[in-house]
Amino acid sequence: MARQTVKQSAWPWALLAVLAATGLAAALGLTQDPYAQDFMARNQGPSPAHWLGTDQFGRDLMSRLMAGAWLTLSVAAGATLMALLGGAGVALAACMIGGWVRAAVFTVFDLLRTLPPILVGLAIMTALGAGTVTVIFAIGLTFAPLFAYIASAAYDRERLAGYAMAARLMGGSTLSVAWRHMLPNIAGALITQAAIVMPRAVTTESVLSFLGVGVAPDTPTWGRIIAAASEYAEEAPLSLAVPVLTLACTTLALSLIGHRLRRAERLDPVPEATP
Amino acid sequence: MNTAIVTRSLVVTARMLLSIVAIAFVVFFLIRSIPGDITDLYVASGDLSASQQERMRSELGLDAHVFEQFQVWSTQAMQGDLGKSLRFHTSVAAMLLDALPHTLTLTAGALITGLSLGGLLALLACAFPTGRWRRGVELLNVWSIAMPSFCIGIIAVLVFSIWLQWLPIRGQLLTPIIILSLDVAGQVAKPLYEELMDITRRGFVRTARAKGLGNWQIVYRHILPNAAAVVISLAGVIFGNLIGGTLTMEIVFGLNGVGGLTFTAIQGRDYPLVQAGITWLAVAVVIMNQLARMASLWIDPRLRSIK
Repeated sequence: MARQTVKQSAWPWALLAVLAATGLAAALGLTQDPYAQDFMARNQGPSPAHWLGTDQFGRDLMSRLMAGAWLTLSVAAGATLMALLGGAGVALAACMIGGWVRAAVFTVFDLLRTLPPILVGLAIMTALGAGTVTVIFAIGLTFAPLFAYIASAAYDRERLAGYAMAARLMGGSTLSVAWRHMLPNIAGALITQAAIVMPRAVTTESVLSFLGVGVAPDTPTWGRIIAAASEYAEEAPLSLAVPVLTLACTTLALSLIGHRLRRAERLDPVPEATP
Repeated sequence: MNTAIVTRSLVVTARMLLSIVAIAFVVFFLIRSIPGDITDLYVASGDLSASQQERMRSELGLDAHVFEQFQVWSTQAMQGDLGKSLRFHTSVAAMLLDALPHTLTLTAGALITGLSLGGLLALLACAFPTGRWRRGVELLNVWSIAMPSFCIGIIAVLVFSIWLQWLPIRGQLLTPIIILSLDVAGQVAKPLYEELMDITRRGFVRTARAKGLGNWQIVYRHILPNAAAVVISLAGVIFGNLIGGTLTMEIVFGLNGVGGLTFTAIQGRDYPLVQAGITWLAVAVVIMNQLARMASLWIDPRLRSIK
């Protein structure tokens, strides 16, 4: 049977490239200062000086959006990475110890997976206080179970596989077998899962920041920009529409990439109509 | 009565109770770990001196160990006393009960509309496998994964309330229910469609047809019970996502539900209310999840033997 081909359109990647480039430009300081306030030019529409207009403190919206691209994507990527390393690492360790430790760890993961990410994020962030590092931690924690299940399923499947037995017979310790032989085997599945989690991490950060418990108040992630603009939705609808649409397009692009990777991985085979 | 079902149901119930206690404790602990308590607020506003603060702390039991505090709190909570709101000085339980009908309307409305829409679409895609309905299922699935209800909610406010001025900005239920039900439909339609396609190819359907059963009877007696198991096994996850969505929608559309109340409480640093609100929502999700698990056991005998 021929390998199922997955139709690829390039726009999600193109959009991500544009976001990365603008984000980088903002990080390198090539834009206007996203923090500079101009009280003479508050809530303005688009103009040659401010291409997308200004917010309620007269800060240039375009620069803030560009800086936001950098911050939003790096917070989400950091959270996804933390979920991957933490989730898979803890799961593999628990599997190797086995017994009641494994049962206890997975009971916690089970409970965590049941709860909606926003609720968990809300509880943790209320306690820890708004901040970039804490929000990465909170989001990473909520998505860790998704990686833990992949790692534990792979561990059970591969533990008795020929190559793992061979490695063990040649004197490899449990740790080295897991690290050198099993991890490379499940890396693909973990990376695909990361691609699926990434857009959800972007959304979760945005919602938490929108609710005021995400990143610190002056950090211009998209959620914060949206929160600020939503107070002036009637006076300056454009300042709200642009960041919301940017966020929606970004999560759409990221989700499509994840969706395709998953189909290509055949983790989620979709019956294709025969022509 | 099948003993396997009873044993499994007991295990599920025990796990549920354990989860509820765990959640209640973690939320309690998290809220207690916020630096500063009520007495600090009074000191900051100049109403208390340092020695009075110590006395007030011990009167309120705030100097006790966190486990002892939790014991006191949970005993009261089980008697329906969730404490008093710091801002409104009214009973937290009463405030939550007032807010509950709004949340229930939103959740139930979205769940019923979404499940009907998703189920109908999956059935149509299965009955007419020409591709158009199937593409609809696929599209709705991508929509529910990719479009955060939070963004769609704000866009809906911008378009329908500010630009077209058809609907009020705050306090209406129509748009949030539509948005959340699309979310639910997208999550349920695709797995259901795949399951339906899978079932129609099974041997027992062919046997039923060979016995001379009509199409309706096959669908009704053989296909739908099997497909229902899939929907019910998904129900827990879908409900969890729905509670997350409800929380956001209540805030975006300014509804006075449990989520909206919790949000106002977070902004006002009204911790007893925050704690109770978050615990309520989390416990609701856990209960629904375990109910779904139990229902799956009743419906699907295949699950009973699996540990």
